[in-house]
Amino acid sequence: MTTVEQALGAGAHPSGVLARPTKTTGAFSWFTPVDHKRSGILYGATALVFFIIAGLEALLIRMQLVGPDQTVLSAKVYNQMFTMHGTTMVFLVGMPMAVAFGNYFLPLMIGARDVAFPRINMLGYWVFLFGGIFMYSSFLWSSAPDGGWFGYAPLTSQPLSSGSLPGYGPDFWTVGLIFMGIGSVTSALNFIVTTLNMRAPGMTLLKMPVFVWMIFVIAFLTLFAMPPVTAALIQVYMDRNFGTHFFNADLANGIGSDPLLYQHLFWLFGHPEVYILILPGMGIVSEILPVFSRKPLFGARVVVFSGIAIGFVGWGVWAHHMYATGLGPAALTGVGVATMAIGVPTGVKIFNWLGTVWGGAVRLKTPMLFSLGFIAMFTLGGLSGVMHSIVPSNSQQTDTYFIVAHFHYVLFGGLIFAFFGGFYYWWPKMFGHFLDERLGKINFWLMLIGFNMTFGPMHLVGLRGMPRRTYTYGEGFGWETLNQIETVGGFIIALSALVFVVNIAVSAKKRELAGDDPWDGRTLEWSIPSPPPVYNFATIPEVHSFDDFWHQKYTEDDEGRLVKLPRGASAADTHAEEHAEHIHLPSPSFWPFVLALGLPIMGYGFVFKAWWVLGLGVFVLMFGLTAWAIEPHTAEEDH
Amino acid sequence: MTSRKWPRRLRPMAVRVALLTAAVLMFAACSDGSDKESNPLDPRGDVAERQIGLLEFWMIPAGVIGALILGATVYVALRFRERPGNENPRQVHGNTTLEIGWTVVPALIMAIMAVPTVSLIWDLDASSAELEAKYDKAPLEVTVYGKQWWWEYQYTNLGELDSSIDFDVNTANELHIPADRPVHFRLLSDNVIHSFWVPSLAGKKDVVPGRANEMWFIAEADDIGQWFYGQCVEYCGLSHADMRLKVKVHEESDFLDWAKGQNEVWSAERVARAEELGITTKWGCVSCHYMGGVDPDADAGIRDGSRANARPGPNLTHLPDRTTFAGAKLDLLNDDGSFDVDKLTEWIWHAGELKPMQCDKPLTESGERCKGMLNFEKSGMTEEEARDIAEFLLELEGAK
Repeated sequence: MTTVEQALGAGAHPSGVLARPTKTTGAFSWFTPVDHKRSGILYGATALVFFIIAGLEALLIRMQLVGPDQTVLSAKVYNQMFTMHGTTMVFLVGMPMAVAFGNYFLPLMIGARDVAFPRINMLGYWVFLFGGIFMYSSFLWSSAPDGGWFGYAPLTSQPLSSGSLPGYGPDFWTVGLIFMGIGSVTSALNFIVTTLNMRAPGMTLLKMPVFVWMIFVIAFLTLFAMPPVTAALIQVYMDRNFGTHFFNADLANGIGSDPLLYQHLFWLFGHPEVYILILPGMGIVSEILPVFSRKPLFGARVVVFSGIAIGFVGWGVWAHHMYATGLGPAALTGVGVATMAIGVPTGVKIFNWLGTVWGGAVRLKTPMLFSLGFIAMFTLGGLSGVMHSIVPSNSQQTDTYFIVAHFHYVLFGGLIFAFFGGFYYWWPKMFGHFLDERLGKINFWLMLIGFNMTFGPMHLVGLRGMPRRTYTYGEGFGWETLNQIETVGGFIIALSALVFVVNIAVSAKKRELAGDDPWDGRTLEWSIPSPPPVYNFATIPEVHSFDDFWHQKYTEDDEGRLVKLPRGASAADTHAEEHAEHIHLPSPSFWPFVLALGLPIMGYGFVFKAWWVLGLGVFVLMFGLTAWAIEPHTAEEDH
Repeated sequence: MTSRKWPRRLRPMAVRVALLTAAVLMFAACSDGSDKESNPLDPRGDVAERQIGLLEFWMIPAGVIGALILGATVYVALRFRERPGNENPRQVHGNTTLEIGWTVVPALIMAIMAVPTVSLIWDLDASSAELEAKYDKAPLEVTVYGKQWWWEYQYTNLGELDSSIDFDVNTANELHIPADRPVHFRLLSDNVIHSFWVPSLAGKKDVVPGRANEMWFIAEADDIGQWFYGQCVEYCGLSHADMRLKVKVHEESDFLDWAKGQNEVWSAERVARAEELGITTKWGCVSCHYMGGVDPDADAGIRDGSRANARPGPNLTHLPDRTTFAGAKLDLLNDDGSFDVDKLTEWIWHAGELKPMQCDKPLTESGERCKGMLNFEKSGMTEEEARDIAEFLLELEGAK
């Protein structure tokens, strides 16, 4: 600590509160962790809270739409709700939940003791948390963002004086998202370097578990997708607050601009974003299906390569969000055909998953149910997705509830189902005890039924012409009954989520211990104790094959049938506690927290154009940054 | 429902049947229940029919693929459940033939789908000249202005339909079109992005500031007398949901009669009465709304098109010719066909209570941040004054 004190001088003496934290247990230590498992739990718990908030917003939306001309919400509040629901689900639930699983399990699955940049990793979490709180604090000024999760210019970029969107909504939205982008990029960098540099000996890239592969792919997508949207958001902020003309035409004064530029920049991020959201779900399912079928992933390399292919082609289809904008027939042809093309690797994955289960010994435990549900629901979302490539008929569907149905089948039926599968699958590893299986099944079936009741009818109501993002609708269009079914379904989903929360509490109380390897797992995380010790692996494993842990337990006879190896024949983990004392781990640190705290303070400065607040934020940020820079990587050990 | 609609009804039914087989069996009992024509599944006219035709084409492979995969998912889960004796299944790591197969087959299906898709993309992208060649008559040209939150229409080539017409027609929200003649639109906006959509007639097209997008559709003689419903489908701010529109199909001669009627302006007597009521003075209605006869310069500008899109509010000259107001959200007519004076009165008095308005404040406080109708109750207008204005605009005063 002496270095910090010397460097900062007497004026900013950080003694006392900011002395280097040493505790790794207790409530206070949750502010200073660098352990990737703690960071994973923090990410997951926070994302779960935001999931519940976004769900409540969705319920309000469903209540408003239960019938024509309802008055549950005013138009303004409704617009805020659908904006915040979308923004929350994408940026505060989908992405961070994937990061939660990635943080916790990626190092375990590649046989590493930690991530490459533990403190930068924690910075990502604090930025995400503060960014979320910052954005939600807009409700205190009745200025929740109301420009849609896509925030199209010039609606969002016109100056306050135009009256397009009164209040500070778009400012909170742009500034909040720019900050959260910083968090996403830091965690993406951390994943990339961790995957490339910290794999256990013998784990070549193609021996990595599919989940690790998918996190690796989305890390690259995140890295390349955030810059264009960040540029667009800065331009929106500048247009709105400083009279620039990136997107605001002022034709009367001869100042041109093109609002479509915003859409190109946004969807150049936004479409890869869809794959950033879904690929981790595909990775989770690719882990669960083999374990609960007792068969290897069918064509594992093809699954990996199709994931990479999706990652690449995903950059070529952004404009299928813009069919109606007047791009001209040549652009429409290209984007339409590319959209068809991306259906192929997606279909390949589905067939490979089914091939995995085919001929297996299927255990229909809750994680498996959610994974099978994922396949079925994602398939439906995929088929309606292919319909978007049929440009002429899509001009009837775009911006209707058909699209809402489609992407909820992909992102709820896909991603959220996979997350729940992941919770039930990995909970024993994370906390040492199972989640209750009976409640888990209730959780699954309620979710499956509620989900289909909510989003199934949206296909039809959308095909019948009901537009999205409308706070009300008139009677007589044939939409009433379907909307009623949807609202009932929404509440069933809410009930299902409640069952999950109850399950967490009940299971924690019951503590049905799981042991190291409750599911007869295939990947390295199951070779260590549950929950894992802080150093993960007492001895770094040496990897010989894909699904290495499985091959330590089983071999195949001449007909390819499983044969269990006698226990102890493999080079099993010895859990040698005496080794642990000599394992070098990074020390806890305050500075990621302090640095991240500067950002929301700067944010209020930007939103309200209060420059002294901005200055304060910059000071906090620079203080955190400087202290971090001169803080030794690990605390000096007492000898 | 009349019997002549049956053949058309059969086609959307095919889409529905395929959908149901795909996943949504539970809706079998849900009837359509609509009495307003605004359903893409019930297309009218060339454009919408061909667009939805592609959807039907795709529903067949989609239905089959969906049913197979859903069926296979349930099948593998049940058929291969772990039971004594099968705990150690044969370990299959992959099968190259199969994997090539299920890569190539979907790719082929996609390639087949691409052919009609791409050809229709190019086919529907038609300029006015191409439309004239195709239908052997000049398309009706309409410029659509997206406003917050209503639609303004300017008819710019009526002379090509009837050489005796040498003026543009300007109206709002309710679009009148002749049957059997293509209608070609230029879509303009000076505010935010909107999207123009009449589901029965064609897919949507965005109305983007700084651009002039084009689209077209054609209505059939079968639908003469029919009202079609539509609305803005790009989120455009507070009252986006209330930015609706209607389209009425006429026989061409009736359409031309309507157009000629729209050229008439208020008499000097009527303008004087408007002044008495404060429409052109105290309440400043005329600063946002065009009213023919009040200002000869403006009248000329409307006729020659130079003053189209000049005011933030709709043209009120021929309000009694309309069936709706407030961005086609509110009905102007009672069920018995008489005017709903009470509702229009309420609208004039405090519009924000009937449709969300960003400018729900008095005249004196209206500044540049305003969007939409002011609150005249807060500006000191009495309900009686509002009613007088409503009756005047609906031309009911003579009857009193």
